[in-house]
Amino acid sequence: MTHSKYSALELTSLLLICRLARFFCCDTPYSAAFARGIFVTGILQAALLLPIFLRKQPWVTPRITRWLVRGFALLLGAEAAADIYRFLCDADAPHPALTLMLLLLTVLYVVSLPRPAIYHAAVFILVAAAIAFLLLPLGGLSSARLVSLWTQSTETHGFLQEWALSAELALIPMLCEAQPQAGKRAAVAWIAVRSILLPLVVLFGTMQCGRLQAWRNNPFLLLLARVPFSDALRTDGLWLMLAIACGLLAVAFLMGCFCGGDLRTAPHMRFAGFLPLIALTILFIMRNCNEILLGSMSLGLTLLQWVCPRSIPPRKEQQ
Amino acid sequence: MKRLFAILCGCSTILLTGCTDIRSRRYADILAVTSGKEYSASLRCDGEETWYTAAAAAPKLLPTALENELGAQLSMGHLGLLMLQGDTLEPLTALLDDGQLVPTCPVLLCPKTSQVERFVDSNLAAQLQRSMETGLLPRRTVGDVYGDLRSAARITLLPCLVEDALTLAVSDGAQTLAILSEDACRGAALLCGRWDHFAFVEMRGASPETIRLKSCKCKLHMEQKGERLVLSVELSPEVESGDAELARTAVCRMLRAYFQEAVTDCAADACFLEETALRCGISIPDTAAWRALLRDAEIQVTAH
Repeated sequence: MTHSKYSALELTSLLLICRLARFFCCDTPYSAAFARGIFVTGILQAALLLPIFLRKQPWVTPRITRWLVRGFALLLGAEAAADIYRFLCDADAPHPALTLMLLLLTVLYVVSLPRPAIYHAAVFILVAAAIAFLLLPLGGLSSARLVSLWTQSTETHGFLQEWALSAELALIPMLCEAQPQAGKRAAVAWIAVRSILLPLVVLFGTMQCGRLQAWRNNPFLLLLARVPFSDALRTDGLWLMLAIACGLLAVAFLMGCFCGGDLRTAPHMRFAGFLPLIALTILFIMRNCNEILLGSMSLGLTLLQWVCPRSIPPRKEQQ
Repeated sequence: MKRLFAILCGCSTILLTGCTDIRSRRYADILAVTSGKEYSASLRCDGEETWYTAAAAAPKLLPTALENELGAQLSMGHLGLLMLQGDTLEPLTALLDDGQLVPTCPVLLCPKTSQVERFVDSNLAAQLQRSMETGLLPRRTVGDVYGDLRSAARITLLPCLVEDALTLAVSDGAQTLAILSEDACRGAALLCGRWDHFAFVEMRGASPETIRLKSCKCKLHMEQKGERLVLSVELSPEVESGDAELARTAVCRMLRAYFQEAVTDCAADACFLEETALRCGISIPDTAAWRALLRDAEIQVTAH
């Protein structure tokens, strides 16, 4: 993977968009326990990445691990596609399956574009999401109830969910290998934003949602319905577009990771046409996949990359 | 080639966004669900005067039955009022879990659905809305009621019609346990705190005086003394017009009436008492024990 042209902001945007896409589509009810789970997971993941941050020599991932991580990126892409499908169904969108297939074809087109396009789009979408998240509490502060934070829920479930939803953790060592400085900064920003801002949004959602913690299986749609604000910021407006755009970019980025960086020059280009089909096939397999499997896979792969480099000498081109 | 492909994808996606589907949908304005041996539903669509009625063996099948009656796809995303008669929990669970109902839709317990048309002619939805804005009744939506019926106490408050007057009923989802007095209704509205202007008339000697509140902060604290719960409520009413002392006495009376009629008589928990207990470090036992604790609770209301 060669990422030398891209800044830390662009890499951060893509990593955050992967997390945001899954945040919009996740079906875990908002609760204080879930917010705590996100925070604790962020701390643990930061500790896990500490060896990479502190290492001064170039980070080298063995070939077999790299292939495993690429395969995992494909799985994550399929899971993100499944999430978009579920989100479309939850939002009562017409023809969700056909729309998803067309969106996946669009992903293929996006992946085949010059790489800066994806990175620039990611920054743009992230800025739009940041503005939308800033506007969200403005309309709902008066209707938020602090006492809702004590609504009963289990912490373990939120913790495990967060491991699964932030599975792009496994890609960070590879990003740090390709682009050490920008990769490290992006990883730090990814952890900081996730561990601080997402729990705040979840807490705000909890205060809005009261005892009914999810609706149509999606707590974010419930939060949007509860916030008294203009229709433009409701499900049929900006948020729906934003969620789908985040999902598309996340799938495109993860597919790009699977193809080893640049799809146009990758030796696996001949597979490109089948990517949406592969994704769709895996999508249906993944529907039965629970958070423990995804969470443990991301943890395992990160640990594998953490352990392996010490026994393998750095490659010539990186010395 | 790539551009053509992109344009084709884009156009197809836009075509699939469902503009035609959305135009052919019918939007429900008022829905009345009656439960008995079988469930029946009466529906009025937005901008129409006609009522459509359908029956089904289970509440989950009601939307399909109504769609068959309408001959079009039905959307309840903009439902203005849900009227229920009899069983509350079953239809709410079925329609909400199915994604048919929006959690922000106002709900009303109705004595006889055969009179639905008469109630609607008297602009019931607007009347209910006004009552909620003026603090006559608390704001109760589908989401609030469903959340209460799933909480530890499993008893909720529902706006209801009694002899053409709007009041508040205590319900466990299957039957009505009590009808609250006007003072208790206002007490519940004070605790819920989502009113726009809270105005009421109090008698000062022989002459009536209108009191208008600007805001009213309620602080709840709970502690367990032996086997008994002690719930202290501190009220801080800010008076916009009228006598402040009279206002303090009145809000204390309203809140005491609410706690007496809803909490200690019926064990209703519609104002986050369960969460308050958890905040104060009191563990919640099972439903029966929590109801018993609420019934036996000692309530202390003070106003500053």
